[in-house]
Amino acid sequence: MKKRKAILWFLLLSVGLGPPLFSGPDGPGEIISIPGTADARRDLHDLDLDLLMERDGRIFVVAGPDDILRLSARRVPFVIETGSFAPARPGELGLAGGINGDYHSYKELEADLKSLESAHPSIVDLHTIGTSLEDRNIYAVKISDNVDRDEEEAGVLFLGCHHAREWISVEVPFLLARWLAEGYEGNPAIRELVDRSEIWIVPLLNPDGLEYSINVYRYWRKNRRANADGTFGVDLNRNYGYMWGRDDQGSSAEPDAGDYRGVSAFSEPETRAIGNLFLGRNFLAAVSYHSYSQSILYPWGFTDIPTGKDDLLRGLGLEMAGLIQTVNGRSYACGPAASSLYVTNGDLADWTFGVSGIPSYTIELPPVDIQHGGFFNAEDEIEGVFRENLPAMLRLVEFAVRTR
Amino acid sequence: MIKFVGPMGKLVPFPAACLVPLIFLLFPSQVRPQLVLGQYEDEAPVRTWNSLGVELAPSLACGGARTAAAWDASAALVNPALLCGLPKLTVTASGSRTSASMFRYSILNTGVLSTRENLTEGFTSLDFGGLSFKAGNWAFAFSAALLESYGRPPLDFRANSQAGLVYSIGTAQSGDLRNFNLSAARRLSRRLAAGLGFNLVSGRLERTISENFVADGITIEDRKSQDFKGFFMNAGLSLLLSERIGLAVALRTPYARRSDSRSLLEYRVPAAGTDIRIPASSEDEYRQPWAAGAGVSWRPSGDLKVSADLWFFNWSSYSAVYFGEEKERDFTDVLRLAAGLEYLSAYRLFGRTLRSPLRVGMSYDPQPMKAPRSAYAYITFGTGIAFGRVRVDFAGAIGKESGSGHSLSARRGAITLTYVIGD
Repeated sequence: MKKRKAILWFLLLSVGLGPPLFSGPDGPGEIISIPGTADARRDLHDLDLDLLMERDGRIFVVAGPDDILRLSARRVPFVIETGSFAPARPGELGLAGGINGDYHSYKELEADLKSLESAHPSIVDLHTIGTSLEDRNIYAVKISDNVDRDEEEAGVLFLGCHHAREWISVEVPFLLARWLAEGYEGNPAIRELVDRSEIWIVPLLNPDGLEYSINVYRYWRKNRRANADGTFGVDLNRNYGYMWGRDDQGSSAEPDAGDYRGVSAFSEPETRAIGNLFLGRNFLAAVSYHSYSQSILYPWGFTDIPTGKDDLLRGLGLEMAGLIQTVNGRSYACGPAASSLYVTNGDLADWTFGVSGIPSYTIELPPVDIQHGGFFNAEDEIEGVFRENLPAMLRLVEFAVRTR
Repeated sequence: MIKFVGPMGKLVPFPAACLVPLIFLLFPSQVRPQLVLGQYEDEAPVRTWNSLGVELAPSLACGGARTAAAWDASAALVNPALLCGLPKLTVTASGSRTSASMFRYSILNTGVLSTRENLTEGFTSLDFGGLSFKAGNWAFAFSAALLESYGRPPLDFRANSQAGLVYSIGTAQSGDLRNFNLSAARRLSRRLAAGLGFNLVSGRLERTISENFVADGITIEDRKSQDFKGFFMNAGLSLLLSERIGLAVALRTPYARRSDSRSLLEYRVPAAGTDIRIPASSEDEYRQPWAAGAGVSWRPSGDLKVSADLWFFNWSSYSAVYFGEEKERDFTDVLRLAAGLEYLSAYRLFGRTLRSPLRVGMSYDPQPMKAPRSAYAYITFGTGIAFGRVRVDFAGAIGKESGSGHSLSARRGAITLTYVIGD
């Protein structure tokens, strides 16, 4: 059963990636690699796949959707390598350049989201769910059929950029929105998924912090709250209302601290915007993207006591980690937040799980450690990080659809 | 205990005694929510946004009131029509020492490093060289002048443990803008003169923030540079109402200050072979506002001259495009006031008659940002000595700011040497 699901997601992955980077014999395709064994060579011959090259004991070929399906049926292990052959290029991804390269600034993202909405008005509806302290809009993209109506469909929430310096966390949810919108017309699988769900994407929750990170200090983390003592910033991912301020280990009461939780739960307009969005709709799963460490974390963050739903949370988390690994071999750890990374209180995943019991995840994107970039990702990694996360994102939407 | 935010967002404490060379303490008193830096955005000139061109010692001592009063070729920077009232030839060189205190700029007191005190940027410069001459009813001037300076007090924060340096962060910003002026003026009648100036501006701004996590072998460097170019014109009229009273008006055109901007953000961990670079370049533009002023000069007696200015700066039209994006600069128009008094004394020394002016003045110089509203009040003073064809003038200006809540200050001293031929 799991195998079939994986095939479904590989199919989605391979046929819907926006403008095709490569065209194989069956139309749009991917570069994949398989082990250079005699059995694998025989399979390639049987499937009549074009050999690109051999490197480090692996064979690289161009495979169309049907080829990938057939390889899966023959249980040939493969890795999608397109990302490493086709680094992100400005314009191709819809990213806008500027002082932060291919990463989005607030204005670039605003422009791209509006373009997305105007290009796909039937399935993309751009909402302003609040404004930041410095009066920037906090945008939420709703993707669904009958997009201007709230229907009884499975809601899934994807969030990015609680923390200003985690630039990659803007790009992954944004690219999901773009991928869904652009693939909807031509891909029945995407269409079915979108038609049966209401996918909400908030790619940039902390626009003020991001702008400060871009223009002044790259490592800025919090929002831009002017605290009473002259310091700046509240850690938005310590400002939600579940177990807010439970102890000083999972957040800090000191305004100068990087994990300062604010004067009260939901004291910040940014978290209030998410609170209102979430409570006003029927979400069945939620993911908050961060970086770095390659981890899929689930509640609780405030304690290492199990939630009572750990089987579900862990099972789904491991499934997502497995899907990510299948794309390019990159490994994401999976576990409860408090015992896997560090104790947090007042974070989004605890709050969404605490108030609604839905599967809620914090996904820490690459790199794996500070030695390999920390909060920095090279521009040409953006697309690859998105692609490796895409099957997991789709799996979560599919979970919500089936749950409903 | 001083803290900084470590790479995982966790606070890393260090004993205060281990910090060199600057001790940054958390600022305990109330702070205005100056989220828009306004005066000290990166492109903000030191001391004031309202720059008409360098003030040499005589005009500086008179509060900067120089729309209707001229002493040398620097008159062309404000009102070229005044060139007709200068001696037949003037050759002038001037230098100055400028300092201005700042509380909030770049990473200082905006969330990264904090300080209890204002920090002071000071610089000494040879800021004007120019000449003027008259030919019949015409007068001409050429000059090179320092228009703006963008320096900031450098920051160097280091945290040590017993094992040595564990972390450092530092910033540096420098740069200036120079103005090359060519002006012509014509006496239209015995009482009326008109002048026109052509101004080419050129300059550079560089900013670097370097951060070093020593234990992890990580270096983060953010380097930005901008090369500026621009052209504007200025013009003026001067009218002698009587032998004692003169009126003048002047105008500076708006212009686009173009910037060739470059940026490189780099993250290096040599031990891991990590070298992530995000380069950027852009053709940017800063739309400078037009400005217009009026001035009066009154000579109640042969020894005493009073001058006053009122200048309007259309800052609401200012815009800054930085790496392709228009930046928020919530500016409003401002009126700058200046007035000064000059008394010419004469005395004998070594058997020769020397003339020495005594000058005092004041000015009120509001800054364009809306929040916080901020303005400097200056008192100015100066003197000089004329010995034959040579004049040496000295001046000082002391300014105190109100509005930001940080009692910023600005000081300037100038010395100007002028060689004069003709009356």
